[in-house]
Amino acid sequence: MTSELIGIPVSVRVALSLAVLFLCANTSTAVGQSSGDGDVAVGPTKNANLQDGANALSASNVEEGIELTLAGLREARTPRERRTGLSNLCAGYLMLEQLDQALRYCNDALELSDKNWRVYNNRALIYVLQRRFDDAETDLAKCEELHPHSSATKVVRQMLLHAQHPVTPVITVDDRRGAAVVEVDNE
Amino acid sequence: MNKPALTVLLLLVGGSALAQGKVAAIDTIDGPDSRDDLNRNPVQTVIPEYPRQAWLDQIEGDVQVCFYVTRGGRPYNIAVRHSDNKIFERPVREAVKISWFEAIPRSEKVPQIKTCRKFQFRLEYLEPDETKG
Repeated sequence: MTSELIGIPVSVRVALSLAVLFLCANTSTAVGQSSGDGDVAVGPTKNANLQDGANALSASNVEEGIELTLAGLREARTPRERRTGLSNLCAGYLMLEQLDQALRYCNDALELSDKNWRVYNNRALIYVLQRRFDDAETDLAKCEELHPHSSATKVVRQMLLHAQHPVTPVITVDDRRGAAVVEVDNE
Repeated sequence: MNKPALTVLLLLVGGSALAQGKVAAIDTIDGPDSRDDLNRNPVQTVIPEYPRQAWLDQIEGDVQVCFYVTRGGRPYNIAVRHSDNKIFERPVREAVKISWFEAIPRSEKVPQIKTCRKFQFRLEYLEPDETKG
């Protein structure tokens, strides 16, 4: 399994689901507003499959989410819907650890828009899992440029750090005589 | 008579113990009866958990705490004497709080001396093969 090959500690990998990001096809953002987050759909979409797929992915129903998103992608009418679908497919396949598929969809999404930090974040995670550390570093730098201080990016950066420099904790306890003699009631 | 310092080394392999918040404990390490000494003999030394965030960020550090020990062997008035990073202080305090020392019989005088304990938090590099499984 990929997780055993890449040498990332299990407890770090628990953070994987935190680091995978989705683009919701339907947000409560009012029409005309910009969240400043890159490619966030504005206003309700008419593409129900895309929406349901995003919801399923967010609920970790990955297979169902991918199926619905693929259906939504086939019905996509706008570039935004297409970008959203591709990005969510990247995230979905990443959750399944089907990295080649995930990478393909991330690359397709970035071809449509190279301003989406979420896709860079997900692709950086793919690169970490593939041990392509230089590529991961490049994408993380892009994330940090587009969306500074993202906690999801921080998680991926930690995963990169641990993949490059795996460590195990060692705690040493050293008892020594205290020098200070004090008056104290020990009862 | 000086009792050699007790050094306990615990290797927490992988992150499972951290993830589960386990606190390891080490039972008594027998030594000479040192009631004529001012030092108290540890009965159980609890090892703190490595703070998860420190581990993720690969932060190392030392914390030294000093405390008194009751006649019954419980540490109290635990004070941090030295600390490289605050992130380590809480687990150290908690570990010391639930550690204990040999009790002193009523017939004997309780040593009125602080006990100090130093905790070193280190991260050892693993070869990639060691992280499998």
